[in-house]
Amino acid sequence: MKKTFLFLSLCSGTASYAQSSKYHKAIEQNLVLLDTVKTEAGYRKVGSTFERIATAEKTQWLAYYYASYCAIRAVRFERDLNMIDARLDQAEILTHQASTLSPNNSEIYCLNALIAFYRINVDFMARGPEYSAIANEALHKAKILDPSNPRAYLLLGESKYSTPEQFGGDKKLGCQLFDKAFTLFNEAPATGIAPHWGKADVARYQSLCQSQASAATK
Amino acid sequence: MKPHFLFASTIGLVALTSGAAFGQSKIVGVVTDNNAKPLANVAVSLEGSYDGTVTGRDGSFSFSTTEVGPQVLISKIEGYQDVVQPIEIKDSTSTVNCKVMFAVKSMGLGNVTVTAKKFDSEDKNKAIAFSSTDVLTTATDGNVISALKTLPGAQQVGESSGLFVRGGTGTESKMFIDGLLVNNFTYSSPANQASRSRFAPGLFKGSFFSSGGYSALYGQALSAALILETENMPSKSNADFGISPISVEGGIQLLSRSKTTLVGFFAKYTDLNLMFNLVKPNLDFTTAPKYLDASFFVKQKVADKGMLKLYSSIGKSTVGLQQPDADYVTATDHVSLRNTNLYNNLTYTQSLARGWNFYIGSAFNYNLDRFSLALQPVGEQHSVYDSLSRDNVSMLQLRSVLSKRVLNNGRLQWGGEIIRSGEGFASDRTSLGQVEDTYSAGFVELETALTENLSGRVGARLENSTLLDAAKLAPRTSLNYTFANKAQLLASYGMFYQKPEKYYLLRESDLQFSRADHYILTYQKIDNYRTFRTELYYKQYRDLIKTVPQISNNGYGYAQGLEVFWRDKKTVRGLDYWVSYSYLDTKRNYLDYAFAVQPSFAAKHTLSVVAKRFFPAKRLNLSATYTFATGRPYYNPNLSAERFMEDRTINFNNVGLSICYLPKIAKSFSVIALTFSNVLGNKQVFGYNYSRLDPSQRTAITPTNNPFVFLGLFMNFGVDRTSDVIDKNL
Repeated sequence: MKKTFLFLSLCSGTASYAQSSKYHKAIEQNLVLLDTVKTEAGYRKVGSTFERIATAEKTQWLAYYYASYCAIRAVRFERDLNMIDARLDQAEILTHQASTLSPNNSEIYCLNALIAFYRINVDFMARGPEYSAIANEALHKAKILDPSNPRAYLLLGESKYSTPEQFGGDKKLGCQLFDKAFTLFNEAPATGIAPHWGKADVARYQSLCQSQASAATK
Repeated sequence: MKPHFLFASTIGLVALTSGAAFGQSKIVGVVTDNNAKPLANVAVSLEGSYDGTVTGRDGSFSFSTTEVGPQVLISKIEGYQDVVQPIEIKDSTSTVNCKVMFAVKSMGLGNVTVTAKKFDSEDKNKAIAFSSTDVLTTATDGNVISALKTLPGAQQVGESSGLFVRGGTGTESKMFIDGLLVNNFTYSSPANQASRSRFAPGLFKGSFFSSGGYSALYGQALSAALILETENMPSKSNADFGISPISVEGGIQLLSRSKTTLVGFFAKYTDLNLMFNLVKPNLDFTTAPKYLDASFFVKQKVADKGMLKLYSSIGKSTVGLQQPDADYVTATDHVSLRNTNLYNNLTYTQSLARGWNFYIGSAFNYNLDRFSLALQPVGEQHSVYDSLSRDNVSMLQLRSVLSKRVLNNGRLQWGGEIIRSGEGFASDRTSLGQVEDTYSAGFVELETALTENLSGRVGARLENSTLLDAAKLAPRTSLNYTFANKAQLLASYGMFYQKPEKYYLLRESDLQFSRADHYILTYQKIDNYRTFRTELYYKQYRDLIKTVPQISNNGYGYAQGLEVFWRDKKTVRGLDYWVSYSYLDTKRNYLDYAFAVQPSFAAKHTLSVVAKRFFPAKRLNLSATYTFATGRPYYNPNLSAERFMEDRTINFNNVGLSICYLPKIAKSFSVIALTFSNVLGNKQVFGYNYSRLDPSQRTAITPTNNPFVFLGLFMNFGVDRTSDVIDKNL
């Protein structure tokens, strides 16, 4: 009897281990792909894999998160303003699902901010004030939930850096935020399948900041 | 025994994770629409598994899977309903060939409900919507009405306030703020002068202007409804300050830490004295117009998705002018007008579960015009005729609307409103007394998709007035067909009633509602870059007010026309321009008209061109407006009776320019605005006043200031810099 019990528990334990390891491995493999993707079709393809994993697993917020992240990144290539909102709506559904599974998640707030930033592109004059406010609010929330999330600082920095000064932008403050993000990236590098994107962007902005600072001193 | 089991389960693990090493079956196929056109970017997957892919440009797909047996293949793409089909994978080496065809289009993108950006009400889709930025950068004189005058349907009437739409008078257009009727939307003004809107354009997040056939939710406007929605919560506390040669203004709005409560105050003082000393007006002002306005507002978020808004304002104005008396050449008219206005608007909206929405609102309006006239013979100290009159209106409104999402993304709305009003007119010589009325209305409206491309709206409004002792049923309906390229063809019909103006109600007790029937055919194509819209309409007026031989409802008329609107933000990068053209054919027999003629406020052809461009690097926004209207009829008593209203004024031409510069001033968002009206100095005549005693004498009715120049500095400071402080203290 005892042996049968051991047998059953061992089997079921292995099965769930196998299942979660399968999930882990699939995300891991797809993340490797994501890091090298450069085209819209690429983002769509990787994104659809994440979405399939998310739908199959049903309870993994990270899968929805990555699916949404890919959908948002793919929008960067969209030139037709009429399509941007529709595609961001799709991404928003995915982040919404992620946040239902993992409420008050700093990383998901960062995605919400990204979505708002991309919406501004549709009509800068009309949407700028409203959506940058929405994005900044999401980022402040992200920062409160996890003060060591470098992506919150990166996106805040981008917002401050690229917004015209008379609309509340501040290049200097933007550069300080990039430095902070850089420190955070180095202090606690992401492990496993946790989000790690943004490091390259920080480096790119930091060099922009540097060249600007040196131009100013000349 | 134990190690054996362990071994077995490890084998299983290996089999699961490195299935690729063993044989995998292949799923291949092509995805098309029902015209056999291949579809790219379709997500194809096996239900419950990680396996799947995205189709390529030729619609083909191919992926491997370790699954065997009966499976379900799911294909998804935006705009279509998902295709779900069972497939059978015989064994781990087989290749399954699938054909996927999308046949059923999903009912519009409206199925996606997360976004609030899409217009949810059909009226907004039918009307041309203006964002607050559109209004702010078009109406650089700070008058909402001027921005709307660049839209099709609106007349270029410069001698009277209000919106004259499609052969209707200014009083036939009504303004609604958050669903509630506003009396005296514009400042009071002496005869033959237009005045500006009392409400700053910045109050509103958006406006849409329905030039006809509007929803059953609104009534008592024979021609048009201007529906304004006030701003929601700002993202942070802020303060405003503005100064120009004619005005100073300032305000503050404070947002609570929890961002659920906002309290604000705003005051503005306008005095045209300095301006008139610099640029002589066409009229002789004894007191240059002065306006003092103050407003107070509260916005409160209530629980989940509830919002309470209070807006309260008080305004006082005064103006005095002298002009030669039209009848007595040797006398001067001294005219003065003092106005007091109170406006309160309180609304509460609540979104509830399962698509329910609840709205309740109340408004209180009070307006008093004190008008004095003194006739003074030239060279004498004392006047020979004096009169002082009081013209008062008060109105209390209560309104409630319930709405529910139903059927295919449709909506059912119903509710009611009641308006209690008292209006009176009295002078020191005669008193016309007071009229009191309780107007009540109930309305119901259903909007729904009928088929894939066809949607419709059907509604009715039942209106009752105790003063007129009458009840009327006003049906409203429209049918909308959407083409494959998203263009829309819309047919609407509506019946509209309006109470006669108080000056007639005070004199005659046996009056009825006036009535207009609208028949409208619209074709439009709207996307984020361009709007094309053309409308053909016919409007029939019945029971208009006649004042001759006695006050009655025997007036009638019609208006028909064609309008075209084109807005383009794409062709020239950075340039936003629009063109409106209106053709209007209208005749009416009302007031003292002997027979039906084209009325004095109607021009046959009207054209507006607006172009705007923002230069981010130079922080400069330039905009130019050109308006043209053919001459309007005026009454010339020197002509015989059968040639009534045959004369036409000269054509109207106006070029306006506006330069807005956004300077860097501390941490503020500042705008320096410089605007010119009638830059080219075109002569503008709106009509003539003839002397009754000597009809060979006439004076032209012209704009008060022509050309008009305005320079102002407006600043906005974000009070709450706490987030920036936090950002700095990294």
